[in-house]
Amino acid sequence: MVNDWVFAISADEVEEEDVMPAEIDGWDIAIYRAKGKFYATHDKCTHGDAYLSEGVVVGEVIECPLHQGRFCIKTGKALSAPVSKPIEIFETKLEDGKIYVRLRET
Amino acid sequence: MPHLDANAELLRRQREIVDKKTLKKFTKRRDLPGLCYFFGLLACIAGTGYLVFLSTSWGWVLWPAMLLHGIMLSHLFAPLHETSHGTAFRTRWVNEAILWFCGIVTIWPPIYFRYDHAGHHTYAQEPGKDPELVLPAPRSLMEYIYYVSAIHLWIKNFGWLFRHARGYMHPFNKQFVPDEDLWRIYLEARIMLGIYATLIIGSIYFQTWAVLIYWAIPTVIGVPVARMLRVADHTGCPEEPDLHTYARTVTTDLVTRFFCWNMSYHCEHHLAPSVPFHQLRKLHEEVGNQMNSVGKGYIAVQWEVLTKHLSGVFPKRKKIQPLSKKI
Ligand code: FES
Repeated sequence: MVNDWVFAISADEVEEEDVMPAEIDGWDIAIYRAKGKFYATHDKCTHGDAYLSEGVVVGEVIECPLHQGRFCIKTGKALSAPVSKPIEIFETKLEDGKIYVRLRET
Repeated sequence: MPHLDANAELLRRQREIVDKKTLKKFTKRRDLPGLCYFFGLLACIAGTGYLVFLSTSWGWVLWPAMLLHGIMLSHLFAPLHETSHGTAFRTRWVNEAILWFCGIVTIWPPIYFRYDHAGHHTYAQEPGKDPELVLPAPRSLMEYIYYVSAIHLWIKNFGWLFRHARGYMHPFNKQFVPDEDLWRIYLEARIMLGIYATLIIGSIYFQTWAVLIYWAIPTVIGVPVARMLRVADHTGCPEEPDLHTYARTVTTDLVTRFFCWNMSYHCEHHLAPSVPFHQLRKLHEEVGNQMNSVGKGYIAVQWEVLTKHLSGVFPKRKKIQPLSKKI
């Protein structure tokens, strides 16, 4: 399925400034809605064993629920301690009220 | 990168108490409450600073004035803690500016504190793992006095600053910091020591006592009050990773809650550190019945620690396992 667009979640399941989990081909993905746009990243924090989909979205930033490490959801950049490694991001597209994600070969 | 297995378990236990949807009601970030609390505290500090100024020609009256001023200054630990979580403000630069300001004034290196405190939230109340474990059992009266006097605090904090400034971190502390961020912590220590050195040299050059009487002496004599508040957070609670019982929620008045930025709701803070301080009371109303709400104030908890949780006057040897892997 890599490099193909895969259905992740219905758009109406993700509220504005919120995040939801989606499992795609065994991958844990977090789907975000911020400023009307949809974004996707890996769900697992790069610091520890926590799911970003359990975290808090503030603007275009996801804050990890455990130690409040922060990532930019557009670029995946680690923004503040205790996270220092970026989070992988994925392309998204919206079609007929559904969000699709394109996973990459790793 | 280190792998924190304890974390998934922590979140699982959090979900048993409160679901994501309920929690979301409380996690919204705002600037106004934090600004009111912070500038309110600064106004109190300015007021007690003015008292110090008035007392300079009154001989011994200067000392109680400096004590009162120091107690106010020591409460800057509350915004330092809240901004280290990044939950105090919605606007990021405001959060970071206040984190740095409080860190410099209270002599806590802010970036390192963020890592250290993350370790505390992961391993709260686990001897040998929790980097901020306060007075683990068996605890004695001498250890209590040593802790509250804050002598240990200055040894620890200046120890961090001097070690980090020369590019070395103690292996225990290093467990909490990824290698790629060490330089940031070393730089932070150099900047802070540079600021303190400038203040000392400036005071000597301009022949002024201002730094000493408005900041240094009050900070040293006032901080024991903040230490006593911290004793109430966990000391005497079970030393095991149980979100329900390993912290205490203390019943206290509005004024104390203002100065400690609602950290009296300590169980709720550990349950969900993503919840900003101004929403902890509401979270307490939702889940407080499942938490260790002791129904006592800070003074009653101090008394409980002194009368029930001490085992003798002098320290006994403790067995603790050092954490072996990096987190
Ligand atoms: S697990 Fe995400 S910041 Fe620590």
